Amino acid sequence: MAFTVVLAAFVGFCLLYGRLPAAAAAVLCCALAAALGLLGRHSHDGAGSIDALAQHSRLCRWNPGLKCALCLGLMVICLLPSSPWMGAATALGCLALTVWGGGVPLHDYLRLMALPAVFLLLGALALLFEYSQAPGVLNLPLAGGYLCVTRAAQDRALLVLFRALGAVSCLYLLSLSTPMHELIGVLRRTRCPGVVITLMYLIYRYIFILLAMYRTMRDAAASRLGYARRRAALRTTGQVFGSLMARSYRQANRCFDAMESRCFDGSVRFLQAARPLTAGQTAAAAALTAAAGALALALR
Amino acid sequence: MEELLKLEQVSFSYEEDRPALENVTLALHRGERLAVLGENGAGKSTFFLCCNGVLTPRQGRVLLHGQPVGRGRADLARLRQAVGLVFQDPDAQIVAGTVESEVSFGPMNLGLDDGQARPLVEEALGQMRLQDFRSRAPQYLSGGEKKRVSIADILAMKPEVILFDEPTSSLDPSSVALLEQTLDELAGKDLSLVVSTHDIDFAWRWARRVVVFTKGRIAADGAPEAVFADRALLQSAGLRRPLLYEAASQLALKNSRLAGRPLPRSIQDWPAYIG
Repeated sequence: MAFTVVLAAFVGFCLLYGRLPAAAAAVLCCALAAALGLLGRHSHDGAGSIDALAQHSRLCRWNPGLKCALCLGLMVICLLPSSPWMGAATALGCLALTVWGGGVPLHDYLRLMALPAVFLLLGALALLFEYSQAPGVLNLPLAGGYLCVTRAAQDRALLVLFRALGAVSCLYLLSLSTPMHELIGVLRRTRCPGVVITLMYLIYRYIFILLAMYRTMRDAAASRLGYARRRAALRTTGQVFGSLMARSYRQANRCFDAMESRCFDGSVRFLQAARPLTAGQTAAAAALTAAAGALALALR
Repeated sequence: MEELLKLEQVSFSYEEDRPALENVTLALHRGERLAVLGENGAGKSTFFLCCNGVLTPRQGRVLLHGQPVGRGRADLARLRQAVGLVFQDPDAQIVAGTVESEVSFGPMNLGLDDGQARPLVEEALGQMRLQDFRSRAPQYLSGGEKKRVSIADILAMKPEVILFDEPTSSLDPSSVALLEQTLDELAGKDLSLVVSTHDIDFAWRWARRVVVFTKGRIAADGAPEAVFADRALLQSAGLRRPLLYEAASQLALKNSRLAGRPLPRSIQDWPAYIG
């Protein structure tokens, strides 16, 4: 999280430099970074945390097909206009829906956003800086030219950054309100091939089993000073992952036996919890999509 | 008692020169409470996998209701529906994202549609008191709860024989007590229950028949009183006498008044034994 916060502050400063006075840009970015750092300080575990939050979200009761359609619609609308404001508005809208609509804690949302944010910010950084003979709005003299940030690069980076942020926020709205098994159920209804569905179910289930195995092995190694020194830590990490690999093979064999013992024939089939489509949910999703569409039209 | 399942002269080996099961003949009857004992590697789990048709015996045959079971899909489905296997590690057994969908896995594999599978799932969830857990993800359940889910998995397939592979391992005492209560309830439903265990005291308390495996062979098969009376057998199988059995036997040696009385199965039977 600390790296993301520093990176966000630096990219923010580069994006705002020349648009605001330098001191104001610096203060604004530092304040933003401090707020992000404070709000996103809470810590859980990745995949398990997303799934747990989705299970407890108030939006979990919504029909999963409707949520998929809503998020897909919002994402497409977010990508249409060539304005960073659309991406920013989508990101804020999705945050509001997920946090206040779904009840996902803000610090958890920000912490989970930190991972994709690193990629987005690094991408923005690559778009911002270019080598040129002519100076831009922010310059670093280098080898007779300038490593500089130009106004055009700022505009381009802003657009890409906020578009991507908006699209990622749409995905987060979906994944933080819909448990994985319901998403897989939607894919099944859309005639996704059976082998893909089977693999998704098993991979999803095994994320948690392997994670639990890994934690046990890591703790056992740590309790015997396996990570006490850098060299030992490297060796222990290798051994733990090697053992994890072997154990995952054995576990896979046992799992296959257990499935076979219950007449598994190559395709998994389960009952799905009924999440009926209600008029209220449909109206709310339509209103959100319409509002996003109207904003997109206004920004074109 | 009606014979449900029979293994006749069954042998199986994972490696060419090391048989895991050798000439095993055993019949399971309706309403039976059978404990399978033996050291690790004695062949208990292999025996269960052969009973359920996951492993194909190298020699011998498996009979269900007196009829030999072939290796065709229909025959295997018939066997696996009738003979349910609860695995030792629930994490190896549970595949679905919620408890309800997990319990529906077996019935749906039997070719039932949603409407036919749902009542079976509801009944199994009710039997295992899992109604409030139906939408919970398995990874957030405790070990005891996962075990109940893995039993509900099997109950939903309406089996006649249920094989439990070391069901008490890694369970806390309250979960073991709950499991015993569940086993007692299931025994009342005229099912044939077979439990492999290292918990000798549990076997003494619960079982009405005991089978001892050593090196892939059946070393003993009989009433618990007879099996646990054979010290040489227990020693060769790496077993010990149940605590209550041993205490009651020692007491009977010193007090002739107790000789001939039925030995207490549980601590609740103790006052009647010494009274």
